[in-house]
Amino acid sequence: MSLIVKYILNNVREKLVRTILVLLSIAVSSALFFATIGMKNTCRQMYVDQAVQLGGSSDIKVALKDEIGGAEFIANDSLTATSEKLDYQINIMSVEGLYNPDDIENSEYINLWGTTLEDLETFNSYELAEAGDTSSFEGNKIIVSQVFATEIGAKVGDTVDIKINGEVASLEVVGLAEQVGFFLNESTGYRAIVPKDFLETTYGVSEMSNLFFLKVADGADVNDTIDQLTEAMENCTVQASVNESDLNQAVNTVVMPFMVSALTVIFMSIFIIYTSFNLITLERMPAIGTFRSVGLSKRRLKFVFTVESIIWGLVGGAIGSILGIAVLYTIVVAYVQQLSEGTKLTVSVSGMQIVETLLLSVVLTMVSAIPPLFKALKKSTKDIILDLDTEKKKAKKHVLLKLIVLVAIYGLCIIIPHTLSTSLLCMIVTIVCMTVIIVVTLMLVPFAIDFIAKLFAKSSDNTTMLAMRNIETNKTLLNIVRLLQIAVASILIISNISNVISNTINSVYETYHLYDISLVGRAIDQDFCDRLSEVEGVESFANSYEISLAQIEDKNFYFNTLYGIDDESFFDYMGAEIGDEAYEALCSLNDGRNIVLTELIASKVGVKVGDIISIKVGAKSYDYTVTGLVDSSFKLGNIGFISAANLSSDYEVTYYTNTYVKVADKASVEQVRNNIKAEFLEELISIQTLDELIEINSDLIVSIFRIINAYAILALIIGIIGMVNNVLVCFATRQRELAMYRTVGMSAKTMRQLFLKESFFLGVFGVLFAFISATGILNIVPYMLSFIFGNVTMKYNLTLYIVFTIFGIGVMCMISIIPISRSRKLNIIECIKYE
Amino acid sequence: MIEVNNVSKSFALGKASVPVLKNINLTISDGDFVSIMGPSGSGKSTLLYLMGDLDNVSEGNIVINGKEISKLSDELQSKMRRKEIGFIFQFYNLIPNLTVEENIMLPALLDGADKKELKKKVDELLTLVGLQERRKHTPRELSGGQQQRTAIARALVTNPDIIFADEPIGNLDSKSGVEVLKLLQKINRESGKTIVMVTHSEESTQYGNRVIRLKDGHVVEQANG
Repeated sequence: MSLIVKYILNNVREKLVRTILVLLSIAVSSALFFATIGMKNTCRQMYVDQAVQLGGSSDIKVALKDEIGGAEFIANDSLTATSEKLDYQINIMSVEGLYNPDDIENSEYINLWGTTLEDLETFNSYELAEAGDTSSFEGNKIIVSQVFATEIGAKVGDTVDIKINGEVASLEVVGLAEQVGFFLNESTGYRAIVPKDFLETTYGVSEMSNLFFLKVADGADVNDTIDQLTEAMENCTVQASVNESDLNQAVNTVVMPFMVSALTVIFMSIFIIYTSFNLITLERMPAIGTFRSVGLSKRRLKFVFTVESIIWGLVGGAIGSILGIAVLYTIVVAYVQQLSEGTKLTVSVSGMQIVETLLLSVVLTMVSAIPPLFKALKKSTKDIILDLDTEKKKAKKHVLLKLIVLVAIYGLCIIIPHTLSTSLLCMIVTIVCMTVIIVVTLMLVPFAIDFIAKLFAKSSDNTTMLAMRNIETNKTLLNIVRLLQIAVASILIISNISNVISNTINSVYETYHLYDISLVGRAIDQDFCDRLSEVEGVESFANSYEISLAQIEDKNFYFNTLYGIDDESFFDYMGAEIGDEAYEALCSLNDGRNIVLTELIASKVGVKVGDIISIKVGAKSYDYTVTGLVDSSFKLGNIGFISAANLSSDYEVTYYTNTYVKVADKASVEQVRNNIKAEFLEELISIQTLDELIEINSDLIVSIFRIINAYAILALIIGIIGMVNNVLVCFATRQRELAMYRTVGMSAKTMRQLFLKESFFLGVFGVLFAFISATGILNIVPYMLSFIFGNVTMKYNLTLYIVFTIFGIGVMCMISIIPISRSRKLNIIECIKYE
Repeated sequence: MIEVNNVSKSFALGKASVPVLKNINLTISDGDFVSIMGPSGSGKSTLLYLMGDLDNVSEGNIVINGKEISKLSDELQSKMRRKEIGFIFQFYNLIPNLTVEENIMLPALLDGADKKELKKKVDELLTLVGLQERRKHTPRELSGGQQQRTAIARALVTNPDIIFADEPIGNLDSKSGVEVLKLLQKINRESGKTIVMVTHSEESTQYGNRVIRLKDGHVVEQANG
């Protein structure tokens, strides 16, 4: 046994270039898989960071309710019911301030948290890009974000004037924070940290707060604690800091493209590694024959080769993991980070990720390496020694029938999803159909090339005929076609999906947000509305109550938002596709506890018009009857509408959450915004024009899809490496054949033309089959995406098709340099003579 | 006519240079059927490949039909291999994914000939070698003798003046071997083509008219067969 191991080690060492190529194949495939998981985790982390921006490591958030005539703060020790079950309780004074109050146009609303830095570090995080003296964080000091500082032109040591509780305070800037943790996302408004004692003085209180973050101790149940606090603190809203179900729902929306990508990665990897090991097997045949002739059993040989493939997988996987980390950092940090305007992205690398990568690498290597070895061992020892090819050429039976069956399966896979309505089943069926389309188009390759080759044989010049014949009959060349097909199809699919989803999300604002200005006020009541209607330039407005984390109780499903609307005129401001029946339902929301859902959420939870669902907010739960369904494109779909009166009374919400304003014709939106600010100033929490909102919210979504597109480029690079590897392997196995051509008078120039033509046609076929599989998949991918994003219209990007046609053929022609340059060194005699 | 003038050939083995042929001088006239014989390592195959322009001499020169082949460009060398020289190898060296008739046509196709124009020639050659019913088969579907006969037909398709054969019956049974030798003899006598054949078999030399014996890289004997 040791001799065999020695032979294998010597073989690996002697064929160093080959060894490196094989390891590279395994490593890059592993790196691609590693990057797939890593980018999925990075996107998940982005959402997690967003979700924990305010809550940090805490489990429970307790906030004093905004009530008319209610207290602004409560005593810190009010939460006595649960104090012994907590690891910590952080007490925050959360107030609204107005920067630059005298300049309406340039004033900015800012949410201030009064706390100590030690408390903040206990449950949340912040990083100072620039810091002054923060050792004694007391008195008139403030820490703002770098973004805000840039906006107002402030630096450390400057003084900023902020109106708080009716008084203007001058605060010294002692720190500029990075966009992480508490300062992660300021799209809905700026934030700042001020010393707790400063706010206590400003408001004339002591040991009082209005916002509490709690961490339950080990062994204590979070939900039980929430229930106890909800019962004990009637003047507060108590909720989990991060809702895992809601988070998972959000994360799943971006995970899907990575799942599709992972599928194509696995296909590509198998091809790349299989071809490499096929060559190794061929080269080892003489030695295998010798081993067999001296008595080594098949069983022992199989055992040795199996162990060898596992080692290849482990080594390649380890290298791939390192490569994958480097790739992740390069793409996320160097590329996406730059485009995310300073928002720090966390590259997520975990031990489990490395384990998964190693496992996949080993499995892939075994699946790819063992079959050619075991197949070779099926030959008789005599045939192995004499290198006789006894594999009979399989007669091509029932070719036409097979072709018809494959085309029929392709067609069925496109038709079936069209017959299903949006549902989880539809999504699963669509994914299965997508996989089958890939497999079927790969299987179609030899049939189609066989047919096309016959056409060329009749009409083309001889070199072209030879090139086509070689592609038709050489398995390695066919695999290059398949590899190019998968690579180009993957990128077409990924790019199209990300572009369409990105455009869909962005177009939500343009298509469905029909207002000009949105505002959030401290207490939007009737008096506020009366005054708003008098502001110059305000044509009309609509108010809504909006609750996040409303749960459909028995379905364990969370709304993105539950709206409480006054009447159906709300949809003049927030558009939706409403049918006649849904319109009737919206008009009669107040006729009982009625609810109108989006079609998407209805299909996800399996409810229909007439069903009764239980909606829970905090500790309060009420039954509502589903009376209508609206189109799912509305704000990505997990939406419900009840009457404002019901929401306010059932869930004890006092003030409207949002107001949407339309400006008069010919009025300037910015001027009307300033007019509103001038009228209400400190009564507002935030005010934005629609353009500002679009610009702010597109950043996060664009970041995610830039990651996906960057990943597509990485997959393309991997595919090219794989094709180069296959071309090298192909040349190695064809040397004798090429030498034969030279002996019968093929000139070096003609041989170059042969390679170029082969490469050209490989490119054409690869791209052609890529288009067939990509077009089929893109036709049905909306049915997969609809379960997550609502209605998505797929538009085929013709430019991409043209670009990839040129690119695919161009890359293949460039790769032809390899066999051309190698053929120059071809030693005819060495190649044609047997030893 | 083939002229071999003061030809030597050495191979590099590590840092050393190993001489295989030493100062060979010989002439082969048109229409000769020459058998080159010698023990293993005597340089007979090397001499054949040098004459057939598949390898380069270390010293000296080889002239074929008045052209010094080492001075020709790759284009002209390739043209010579297509039109003036035919090769037959011990292990046939057919293109595995081409049919019998395509393998036969190959040198002519590379020369730009039209398939339809070659049909008559190919039919004649298939008749000559007795493979009419195998024309659509690939090499995998042929016996050793049939493959070698295909290789012979290929070597004749462009009507070359000279055929080089490297142990043409070395991989065949005796019956097939005799058939091949008889075929070569027939080609030589009826078409007047020059045949240079490397062989281990004394019996094979009876089909030719000359024998050249090599030993340790030298010509030790030239005799009429």
